[in-house]
Amino acid sequence: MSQVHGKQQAILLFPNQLVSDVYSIALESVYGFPVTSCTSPEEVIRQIRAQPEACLIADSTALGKALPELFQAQQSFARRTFILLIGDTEAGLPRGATGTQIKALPATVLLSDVLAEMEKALSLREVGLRYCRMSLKTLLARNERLHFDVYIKLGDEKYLKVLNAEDKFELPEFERFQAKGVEHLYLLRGDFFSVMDDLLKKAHALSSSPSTTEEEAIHASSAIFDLVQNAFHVEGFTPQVRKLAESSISLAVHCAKRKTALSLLLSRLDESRGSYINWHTTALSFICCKMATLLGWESDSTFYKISLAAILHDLPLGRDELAALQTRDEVMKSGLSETEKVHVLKHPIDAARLAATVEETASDVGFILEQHHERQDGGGFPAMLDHKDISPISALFIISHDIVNTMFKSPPQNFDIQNFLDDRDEQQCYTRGNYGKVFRALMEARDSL
Amino acid sequence: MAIEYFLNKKSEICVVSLSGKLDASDAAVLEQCMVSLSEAGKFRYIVVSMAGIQGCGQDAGRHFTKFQRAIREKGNLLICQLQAGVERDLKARGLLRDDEVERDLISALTKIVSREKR
Repeated sequence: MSQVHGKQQAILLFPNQLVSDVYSIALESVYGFPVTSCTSPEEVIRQIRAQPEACLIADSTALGKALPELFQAQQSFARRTFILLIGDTEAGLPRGATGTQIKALPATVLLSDVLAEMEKALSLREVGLRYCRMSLKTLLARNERLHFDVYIKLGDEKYLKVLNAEDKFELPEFERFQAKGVEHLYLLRGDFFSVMDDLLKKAHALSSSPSTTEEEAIHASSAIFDLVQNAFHVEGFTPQVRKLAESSISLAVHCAKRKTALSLLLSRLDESRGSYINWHTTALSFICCKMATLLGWESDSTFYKISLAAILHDLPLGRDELAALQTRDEVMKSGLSETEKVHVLKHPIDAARLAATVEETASDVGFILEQHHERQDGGGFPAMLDHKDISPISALFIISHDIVNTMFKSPPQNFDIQNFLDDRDEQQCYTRGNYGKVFRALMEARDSL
Repeated sequence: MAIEYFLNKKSEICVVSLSGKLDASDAAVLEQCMVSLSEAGKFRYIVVSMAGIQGCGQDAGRHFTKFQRAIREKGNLLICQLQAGVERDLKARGLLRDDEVERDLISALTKIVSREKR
């Protein structure tokens, strides 16, 4: 049996102590993995939080109803955890759970086959960890010759070099890949982080230059979020990923402080439409900051809180079709599996948990994230809070979120902020509590927006 | 050089790893190993890994048999990872039971799980 390279830990959950002992001895003796044997699903989730690199081998009946929560935990903060379930599991596996993240084996499986599956998955993961994804748009936005090789993914283990360092990546190259239906290309991990550093410097230069235009700031911010999103899926929300995310906050603040009208900023954002989560997040961050300025709430702390909330709010979802669902009703009527529905309905809590991993984050960010799908009448999710429980900053975030979604649903360049306000006024969407306060302030400024 | 032993204890299984060349002077070490095993608690299975055993002297057979008997009184015995020459020698001398011998540790552990499922 070949050795799996790298420092690896294993977490076990088996109701039968003898079976747990067997796996523990096999993993320690054959692979030298430190093993943690758990006695409950809650303990498993705690262990995964502490060891996101771990490999979990569990009896599916012991996990029981905690399986969706475990899968969510893996999606939210432990992207690299490999889960091997033994027992009657296929039916309970969440949709979207791929073979490289989670694998189900029948209860009759032999120990040697379980270990072989684990080896295969960990070896695949090692290959996967060598490459990081980057969108074609972000590559194009660099606007300079490549200083790294670029690969295309052919399969879980296969990556083919398609561009060499020193090659150009300009519009013809962009269009060539786009015509083939390619949305992302891959860089070696080290190169990816070097691009992250370059972008960080660029964001710093742009945010400290008074001549930076909205277009430049929006494009840079969109590229940053693309990297944040892709790095998050490989790394989790590490300090380096967070630093990059924060650099986009400074760009949103830069634009918020300019005297530009909100409608002009909206128009600039509209021109930069891209994939749902990327565009939606970038636009939300910019609109939140601008709205805070309009309401006279401009402070570094407020800008930081709402922008960080914008960046994190859909990060646990990862997929455009999940993030596009806005109301409990839309989620329930969607064709998603029950597990995916729970995942969507709980993503505000998962996002708040992510925020809690950032030490300096004020609790306000967590509240904004937990409340960002709530509605004035209590018809939102996850907690069905009505207007009485919504903080002013959450109300600002929710209304900004509504603007961004309405914009995305409108034909390009067809969104009008005055029409939006009139419509929401007529429907009395934002009349009570802090919703009312924020909305009235916007209505008062309506003609100057 | 005297043989050495190492115990890997879990709740219901203990793996005893032996190394060295077994001869008559090792009787005390095997007895000490049994004392350690008794002190470690009760086990349903005791797996003796012989990967490090390079041979068994003619005069050591009796001690090895006593060692196996003492283990059987404590739990189910499985012996694994015998070097080919050592396995041939011990079997020829009638010092091993076929149903207690497994090729390697994974085979021994697999046997435990399959017995448990029955």
